[in-house]
Amino acid sequence: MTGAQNEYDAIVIGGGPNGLTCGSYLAKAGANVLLLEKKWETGGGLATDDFQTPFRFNLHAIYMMMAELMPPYDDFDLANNNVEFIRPETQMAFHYDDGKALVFYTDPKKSAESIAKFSTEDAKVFEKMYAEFKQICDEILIPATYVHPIPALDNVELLEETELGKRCVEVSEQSPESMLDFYGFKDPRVRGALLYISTMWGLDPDSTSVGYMIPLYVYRMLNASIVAGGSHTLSSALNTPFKANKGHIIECADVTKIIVENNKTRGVRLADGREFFGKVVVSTLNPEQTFLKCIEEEEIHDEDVVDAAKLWKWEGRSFFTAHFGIKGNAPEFKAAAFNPDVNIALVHVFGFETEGDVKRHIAEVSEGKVGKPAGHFTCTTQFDPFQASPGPYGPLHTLRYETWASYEIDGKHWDEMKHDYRQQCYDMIGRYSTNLGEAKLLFKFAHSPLDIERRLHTMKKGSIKHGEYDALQMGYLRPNEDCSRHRTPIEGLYLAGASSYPGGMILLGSGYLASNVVAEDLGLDKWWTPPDYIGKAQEKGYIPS
Amino acid sequence: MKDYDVIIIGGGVAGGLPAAAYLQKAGARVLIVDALQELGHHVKTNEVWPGVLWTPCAAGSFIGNSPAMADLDLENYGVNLKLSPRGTGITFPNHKSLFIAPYDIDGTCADIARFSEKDAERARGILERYVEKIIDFNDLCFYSIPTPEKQEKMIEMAAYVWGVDVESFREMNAFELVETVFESDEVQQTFMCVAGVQTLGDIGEPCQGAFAAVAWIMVIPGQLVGGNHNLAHAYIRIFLEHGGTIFRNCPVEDIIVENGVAKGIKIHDDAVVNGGETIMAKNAVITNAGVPESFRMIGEENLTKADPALAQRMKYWDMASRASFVSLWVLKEFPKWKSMQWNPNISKMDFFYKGWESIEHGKRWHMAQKSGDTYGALGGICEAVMHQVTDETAASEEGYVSLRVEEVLPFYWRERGGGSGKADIEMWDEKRDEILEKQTDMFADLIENFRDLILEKYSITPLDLWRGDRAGVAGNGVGGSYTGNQWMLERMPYRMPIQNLYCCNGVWPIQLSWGAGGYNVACAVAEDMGIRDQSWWKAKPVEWTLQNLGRLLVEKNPYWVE
Ligand SMILES: Cc1cc2nc3c(=O)[nH]c(=O)nc-3n(C[C@H](O)[C@H](O)[C@H](O)COP(=O)(O)OP(=O)(O)OC[C@H]3O[C@@H](n4cnc5c(N)ncnc54)[C@H](O)[C@@H]3O)c2cc1C
Ligand SMILES: Cc1cc2nc3c(=O)[nH]c(=O)nc-3n(C[C@H](O)[C@H](O)[C@H](O)COP(=O)(O)OP(=O)(O)OC[C@H]3O[C@@H](n4cnc5c(N)ncnc54)[C@H](O)[C@@H]3O)c2cc1C
Repeated sequence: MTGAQNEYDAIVIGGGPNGLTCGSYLAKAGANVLLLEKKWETGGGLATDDFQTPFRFNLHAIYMMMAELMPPYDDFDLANNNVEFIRPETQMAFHYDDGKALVFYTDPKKSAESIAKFSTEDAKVFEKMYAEFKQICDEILIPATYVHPIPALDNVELLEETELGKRCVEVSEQSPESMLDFYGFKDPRVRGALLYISTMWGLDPDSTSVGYMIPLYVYRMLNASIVAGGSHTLSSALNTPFKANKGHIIECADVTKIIVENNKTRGVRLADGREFFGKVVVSTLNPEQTFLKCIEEEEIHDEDVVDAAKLWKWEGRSFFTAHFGIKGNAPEFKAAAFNPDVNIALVHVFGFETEGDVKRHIAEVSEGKVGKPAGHFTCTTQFDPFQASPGPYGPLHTLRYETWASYEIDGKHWDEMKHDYRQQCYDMIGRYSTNLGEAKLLFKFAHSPLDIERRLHTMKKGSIKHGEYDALQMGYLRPNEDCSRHRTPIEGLYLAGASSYPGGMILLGSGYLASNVVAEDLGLDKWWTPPDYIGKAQEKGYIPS
Repeated sequence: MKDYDVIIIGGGVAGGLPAAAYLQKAGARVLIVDALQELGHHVKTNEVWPGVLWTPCAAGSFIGNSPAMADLDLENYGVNLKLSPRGTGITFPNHKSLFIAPYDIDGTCADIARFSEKDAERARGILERYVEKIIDFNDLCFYSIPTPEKQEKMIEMAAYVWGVDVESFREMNAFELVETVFESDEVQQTFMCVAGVQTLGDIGEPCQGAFAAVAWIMVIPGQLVGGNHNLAHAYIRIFLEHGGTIFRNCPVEDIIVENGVAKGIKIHDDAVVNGGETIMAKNAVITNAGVPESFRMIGEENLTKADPALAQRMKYWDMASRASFVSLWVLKEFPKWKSMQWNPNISKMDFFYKGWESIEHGKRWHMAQKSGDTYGALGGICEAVMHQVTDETAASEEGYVSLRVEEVLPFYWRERGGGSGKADIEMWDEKRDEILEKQTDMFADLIENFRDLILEKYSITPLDLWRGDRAGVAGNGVGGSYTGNQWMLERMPYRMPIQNLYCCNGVWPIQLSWGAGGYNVACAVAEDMGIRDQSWWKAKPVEWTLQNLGRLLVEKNPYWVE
């Protein structure tokens, strides 16, 4: 490449949601920033592709749990930059073989009414739990997502000083499974549904180590939204402030080395030999990539950092995601006879009758078995017509089915199973639907856990959050205690990806927090102010100031 | 709401995006509005199989022709152009092959001599005149707004390059031209292969057919490392860097025309952003939305008032006789072409063709295509692309590669026998797999053990292409068919008869990744705004590519067989 400049204030490695976030904050603060992305397209997990068909498929992230709560939403005025979050009122429907369905809404009262069809007692319990989860999340856990973490014990100490904090600690001691007893749910289907919601993103049913994720998952998955036009719209919107502030992006740039001399970061080298230099380097890669592959071991003086990277655990469960483009009406469901709202639910869950089913399925997947594709389904076009062509010769609808899957599977290779399993996913939707049989299936695509890794090298072994959520890899320890506040023991090296605090999913948290410390260290003008909810939580003493 | 000087409807790489980048850089305040989320729809790159990249539509990148390479410094914005040293050509059903590489006239002539010594001599003259004229030809014929005087010059120059006297040239269609000049069937086909897919002129029409054959050798096929979508990224980056604005997922309902002047646009109520709003443009509204959609947005009444003849031509603009059908295969290993034995250089071809059975088959195919006989036209000339041949990063780590094939067919399914019979558009949804199978057979005939190599395959019909991009009505990706009265001066005007309204889709020369339409409309708007005079806006087409040719030509690649 001619003329490309090779000296920058900051170099960001990886153009996923976190890399784009960090890059945009710094560029707008006046830094001269270079962002390097391995693929030809930025966005990482925010990927929407049509494969040149009339359908838009969200290949990775689709459900936005934080949406408008993410600081960049206001800071970059995303609402005026093509971003709209669509949040259907009817959120989740669990379909059962006997034609019944349990439906959850953004409105907990309506959820309780639906639960009452199974158990009036559980309905009351749900309302209580939901109210508590909501308060804990709104006042403590969400604000905590966007401030730097403190050690777990200090955190507990801090929380113990307030009533709500104490309750938060108690709740956080639960596992997804024990939470059901902690609140006293009885009905097997209600228990199964709640267990699914709290484990769907990878928590094990009996894991007590990151119990605070449960309120977040339950509350936010029942307030989930999708991005109008497809998840990638959010990526494009995060690109805009970066480019408008003269940030430089190089795509197809495979970073293989972070150049460190005398414990000081100098820059990076790409697979093709190009080198770029920067005062700071921000890595959104996973710990194995950053600390074991990109930096020579002898250049890292802090052994703990290397050890933590060596011991880093990937997630035990990943996803198999199947995408379909149909000509025909949006699927309607047998269970609509029981509750008509199932036809307008954002997320449909099939194949789990009870708590036992959820546990069995998780156990099977963890052992590398490929069982029946029980999982969750969304017809995106039902809520957002932009995710398929308006025609001619429609209606056209985009279907997305996702089921837990293991990276390593018994005996077989995913590449050989992919087509067959994809068909099983389609059949699974058909089993619960009344009209899918009438539709014409025009296009079908699928990605196995192996494909996730091959698409995004950060997501090793299909690890969608760049690493397991367990006590040793979360909070102040993500990815280790020396790096979770986004600076590292190597001068000029920062972390901003899903493997650093607060973690994976579309939170934009690590990118946001990293830009705060980088801006401080580079002496940049921090043009942004934290969201109001952070100030309030600090006033109340729920989170560190 | 910001003020805009220019509103561009449609952010494609042939029209809207280059226009936007040029005008914004020249100081205009430009808004791009697109119904899609991703701009550069027809150059989108994807990986259905992880690591195996392809660009299903504009699989050959022709940006090497564009002055934007220099004016906009595209390379510095990520356009990493690579060219095959063997140019382009055909692998024939008889398992022979022939490639024309203007970069290597001796080598090309030696290959041609295997078919005919006499043809090799003729070809040498043509290629030498090609080298002499390529910049002037592009400057006059593509990157400039056509006028009657220019048209005369274009034809003269084309006849000169081909070594044919102008008067005879005017009478010849493409078949006649190649048959007059060459004696070998294969050489004849090769010299008209790119024109064979019916663009830049109807190959069966006098003058425009001959012109198309000549014009097409003036286009430089290449690949962008990491996929052709990087071109769209580059334009967007330049555009945003200079302060441009983009509305995505935002269909335009109407172009507002008052008293014969285009004032702005009305956005569709359902748009994700600014639904239902009216947005004004001080100087220009540019439509890149395709002729049928532009017609709808401007409105028949407004058009008729301004220019009744143009209104009628737009209303009946032919999109349907040239529909693209695309098939895609992911292959476990690089295919062994049967024609490899004849000439191993097929392994160096990224952009090439599967020929007709013979030039006579070509003529029959052309008749079927013209008469709308989709069944009869199947199995004609096909454009094939293997990105990995010039961009090894397009292969997966396992070494999996892709083959993308485009066949051009009439859009309306009719009974055999031409114009009669009922048209059935939804037939495409029924026939998709059948055609894919037919094409798989066709390539199984050209490649050893082809079926065993296939990991994944699917096809995209013209109906899908239309559904995917409302500018591509009837699966026509080139701005409208090239027919007797849709050629050169009779394509769409850049300056529309409505004041402040401009058009860059359906214009001369053609919607391609080379961005000629966008360049030309930017010139027109900039002149009218008085901002054309920019120190950086001065490059000639092709110049940059010739200056950098040494490093653009790929020297080695793991898939090549010597
Ligand atoms: C199937 C699936 C479904 C999901 N569903 C949801 C969901 O519904 N909701 C939700 O919130 N989250 C979901 N997620 C998780 C979410 O997508 C991720 O946690 C999130 O994208 C992490 O963001 P990131 O920026 O840290 O990293 P990434 O998104 O992984 O981005 C990292 C970037 O770095 C690039 N990169 C990798 N290696 C290099 C290198 N060597 N040099 C340069 N660049 C490199 C990658 O190409 C990538 O673009 C899902 C993920 C998957 C896979
Ligand atoms: C199958 C196929 C193969 C091809 N092969 C090649 C090739 O190998 N090499 C090559 O160079 N070219 C090739 N082309 C042609 C080339 O890719 C396209 O013609 C070119 O990219 C189109 O660019 P464009 O700017 O004209 O329009 P488009 O990319 O079609 O952009 C038009 C835009 O206008 C928008 N639009 C339309 N109506 C509205 C509205 N009312 N409101 C808002 N937005 C609207 C659309 O959403 C679209 O984004 C191929 C095309 C096809 C279909």
